[in-house]
Amino acid sequence: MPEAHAAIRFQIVPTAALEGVGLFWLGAELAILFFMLAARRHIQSRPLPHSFSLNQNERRRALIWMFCFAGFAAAVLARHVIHALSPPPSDTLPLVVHRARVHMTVWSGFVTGWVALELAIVYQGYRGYTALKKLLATPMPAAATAAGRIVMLVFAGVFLLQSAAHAQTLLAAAREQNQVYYNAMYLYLRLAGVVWIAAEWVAAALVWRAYVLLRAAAGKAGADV
Amino acid sequence: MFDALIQAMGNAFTPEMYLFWTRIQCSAWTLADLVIVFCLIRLANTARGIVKIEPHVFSYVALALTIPPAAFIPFAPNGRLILLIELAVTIPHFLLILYILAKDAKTFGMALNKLVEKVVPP
Repeated sequence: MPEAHAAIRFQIVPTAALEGVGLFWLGAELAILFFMLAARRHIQSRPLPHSFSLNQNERRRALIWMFCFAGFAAAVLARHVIHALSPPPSDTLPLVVHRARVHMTVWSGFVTGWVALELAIVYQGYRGYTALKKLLATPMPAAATAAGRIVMLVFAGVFLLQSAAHAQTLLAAAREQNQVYYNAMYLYLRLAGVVWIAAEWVAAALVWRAYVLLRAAAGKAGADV
Repeated sequence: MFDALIQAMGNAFTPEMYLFWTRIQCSAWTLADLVIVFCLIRLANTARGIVKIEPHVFSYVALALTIPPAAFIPFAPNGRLILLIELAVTIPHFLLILYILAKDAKTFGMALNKLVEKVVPP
């Protein structure tokens, strides 16, 4: 039995570390979203401020987001500490299976969170880019703005439908230890990946276009870049 | 209806297919990440050029160091290795993005101000 308990404890460390990395990715996405919101506010301010700085609302928002995220991270990771401290069970297999299932549910939740945050970043980035274009040169054609919104709505719609199906998958997987349900969950992760990749490439195109725009404006202004 | 859908999804998708598509998708989003970070460094250097600050060099080096492991993703034999490579590639990418945003947020603001003064007539 001590060996079995040691094996369970050993499994706790990599699982907790992996979820820690997942939390890091979530935190980093939240920070990027925060920057995008602040940058958009800065670009849309009139008159344009001389330098970028966070206003009082943004500082308050940063504190609230950090507090909520720290609480969420602590709640996710605390169960591993409790598991490590809890006494060994008489039968370890059901416990290991249960913990693996909870871990997979947590990981699927992380995937859902990354995709949702990425979509929000792309949406804010798109709005920031159009504001930058308006500030530096000519306004974006209305049709292009509408097209951007439609693309984002389609992504968000596909993602919500996936997530709805996913919630059912999780419930089913919890009900029954069946490979078919796990396969369906794997499929959900890959479908979420499709939305994720699309959002990433839209983000890449936006950053590239912002770079081209800034460089062109610098050239027009005669700045030495 | 959902249960039937889940059953159909589960029967049509296998762990082997999951690994196959993970390799492809992971390569696709890692390539997008490389493009994002590269363009962000170029963008930051353009802003730095406008306000006459030394451009980023270390960020390019750090980004270049992530390319060899990223190129190995399509050939990774199992999911565990794909995950480890992802950690080695995406954590530096996220850190680079956050570093540039934190370090150059004021630079972007100053560069915009300087450009607007010149581009838009008062």
